[in-house]
Amino acid sequence: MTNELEVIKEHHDSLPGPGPEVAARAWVLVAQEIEAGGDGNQPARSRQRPARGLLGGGWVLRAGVAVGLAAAVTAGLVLVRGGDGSAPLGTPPASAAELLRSAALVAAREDVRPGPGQYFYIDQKTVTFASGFKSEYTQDVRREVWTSAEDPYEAALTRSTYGKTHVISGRSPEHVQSPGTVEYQRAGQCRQGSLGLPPQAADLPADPDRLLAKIRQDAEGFVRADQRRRGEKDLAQNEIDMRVEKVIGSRLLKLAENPLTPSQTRATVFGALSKMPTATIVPDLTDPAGRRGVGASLKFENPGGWERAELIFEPDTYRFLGYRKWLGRKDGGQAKEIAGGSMAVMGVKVVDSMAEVPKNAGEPMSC
Amino acid sequence: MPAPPNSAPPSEGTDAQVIEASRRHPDRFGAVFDRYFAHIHRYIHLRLGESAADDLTAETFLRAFRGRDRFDLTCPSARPWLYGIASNLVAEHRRGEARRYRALARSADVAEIASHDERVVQRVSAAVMQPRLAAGLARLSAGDRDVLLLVACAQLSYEEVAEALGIPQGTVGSRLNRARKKLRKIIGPAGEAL
Repeated sequence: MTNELEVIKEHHDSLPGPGPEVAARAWVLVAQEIEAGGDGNQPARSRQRPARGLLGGGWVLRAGVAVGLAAAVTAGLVLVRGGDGSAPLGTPPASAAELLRSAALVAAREDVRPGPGQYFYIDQKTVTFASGFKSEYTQDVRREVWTSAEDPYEAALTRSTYGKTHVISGRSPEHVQSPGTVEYQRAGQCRQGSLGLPPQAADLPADPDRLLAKIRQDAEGFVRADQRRRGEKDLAQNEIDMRVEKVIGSRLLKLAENPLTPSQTRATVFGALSKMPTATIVPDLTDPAGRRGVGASLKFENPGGWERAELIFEPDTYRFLGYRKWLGRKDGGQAKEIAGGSMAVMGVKVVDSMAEVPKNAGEPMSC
Repeated sequence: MPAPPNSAPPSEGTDAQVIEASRRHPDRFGAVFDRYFAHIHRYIHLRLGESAADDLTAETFLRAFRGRDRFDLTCPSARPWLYGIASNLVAEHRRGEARRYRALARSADVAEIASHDERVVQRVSAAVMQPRLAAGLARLSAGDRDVLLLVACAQLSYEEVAEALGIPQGTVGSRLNRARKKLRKIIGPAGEAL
C-alpha cells in the first residue's frame, strides 16, 4: 500500500535524468558568468542569451552593468619617474608594457576612500553591448554608483540613465529601456548584484609576478574542471591554451576595471598586465566620452575569432580614463572587428550622502 | 589563507563551505552544480516537462551563482535554497504547468478505450504521469502544489520547505494537509485507481 506522496515520489524518481549534453550546456552558461567575473556584474559585453522553450524565444535581458577601472580623481599632481621600466611623464611610452608600468605607479599613489558614514561616488559613461540570435546592439548608459565604506562589496545605490540604442545587426531589440529612462537599484533589491568590490580582490599577492602565477594556476584548474563538465575529452592543447589565456585576461581586466579595487591591488594588476605577451600599444585613441588617450591593447584568441580590450590612459599623466572592447570574427576568410562595450570614468569622489530614490521608482528591468 | 590553487571543485565539505569558497573563487561553484544539477532537473521536469527543465535548471544555477553572496552560510545544505529558486522559476510558468497537468490528465480518456495491453504498458511506464495524479495536481492551488511537491519529490523537511518558499512552518503543514486531502479525493484510495 502506498500513499500519495510515495506515488509522486515514485513517478519523480522514474523520470530520466538530464543527458550529459544538457548539463554541459547549462554549465557553459554558468562558466561564462564565472569568466565574466563571478560577482554578478557584467562586463561591457552583456552576455545575453537567447531563450527557448517556455522562456518564449525572446530576449532574456540581463543587467549589462558595465563597470570600469577607477580613475581616482585625486587632487594634485602625481609624479612618476622613469628608471624602473616606466615612462617619465610627458614622454610617449615606447610599448604597452612601459605604459602599463607607468599606469601602475600612478595607480599606486591614488586612493579615494570614504570615511564612516560617507560614500564613494562613481560617475561612468558606458556603452553596453548585447548579442544574441536576433540582433546585436549597443546602448549608451550613464551609471552613477554610491558605495559605503562599511560594505564595499555591493553598491548601496546605482542610478542608471539610459540613452540611445544602436543596432549593429539584425532587428531592433524589443525589451530595452527607452532613452531618458532612469532606474534606481538599491543594495539587495535584485537577485543580480550591482557594482561592488570583487571578493577575490581581498587575498591577492602584491607582487605582479606572483599575482600572474596565481591567476594562471587558478585559470588552468578552472579550464580543466570546465572541460570535464562540458564533456570535452579530445580538446586540442592549442584550444586549452587559448581558454587559459582568455580566463587569465578576463580576471585581470575585471579587477582592473573595477573602480572599487584598492589602489595597491590595481597597481599590481597593471603590473601583471604589463607582462602579458599579447599587450600592444595604441598610441592615439579616444574613450567613449571623446577624450584623447593612449591605449594598451590586449587580445585573446578563440577558435572563432578573438576578443580585444583597450585600456585607455591620459597621455600626459597615465591616469586611467576608461576602456573599449572589440569582438573579432573570421567571416569567410575575412577578419573584422565590431565594437563591444566601453566605459569612461567621468568622476570619482567621496560624498556625504546618496541620491534620493523617487517614491514612484519602479524595479530595474534587469532585476 | 588563499585556497589551494587547483580550482577543481573540492569533493568534500558542506554545501555552505563550498559556496563560501566560491565567493572568492567562483569556479568552486562547480561542486554545487555537480551535486544538484540532476536533482533540480528532475524536479522541474516533473512540473514543466523535459524541455523546460533543460532551460530552467540552467537558469536556476545561474541565479544561484549570482545570488551566492546572499546564501545563508549557517545552512549546511544548499538543497532548500536551490529548490526555492527552482520553485520561483516554476512559478513564473504557472500556466504552462497547469496546461501540462491538464494535458496529461486528458490521456485518461485515451486509456479507457485502449486495449488492456496498452493500458498495462502505460501503467508500468512510470515516466508517464498517471492521469489521475495529473488531474489532482492540476486542481491544487499553486502554493499547495509547491509544498506538496517539495515534500514528495525533494524530500525536504517542513523546516526546509519553509526556508525554500519563505513561508512559516505552520503554513507548510496546513498547505501539505490540504493538498494531500484534495489529492486523495481525486485519485481515490492510494495505490489503486492511479
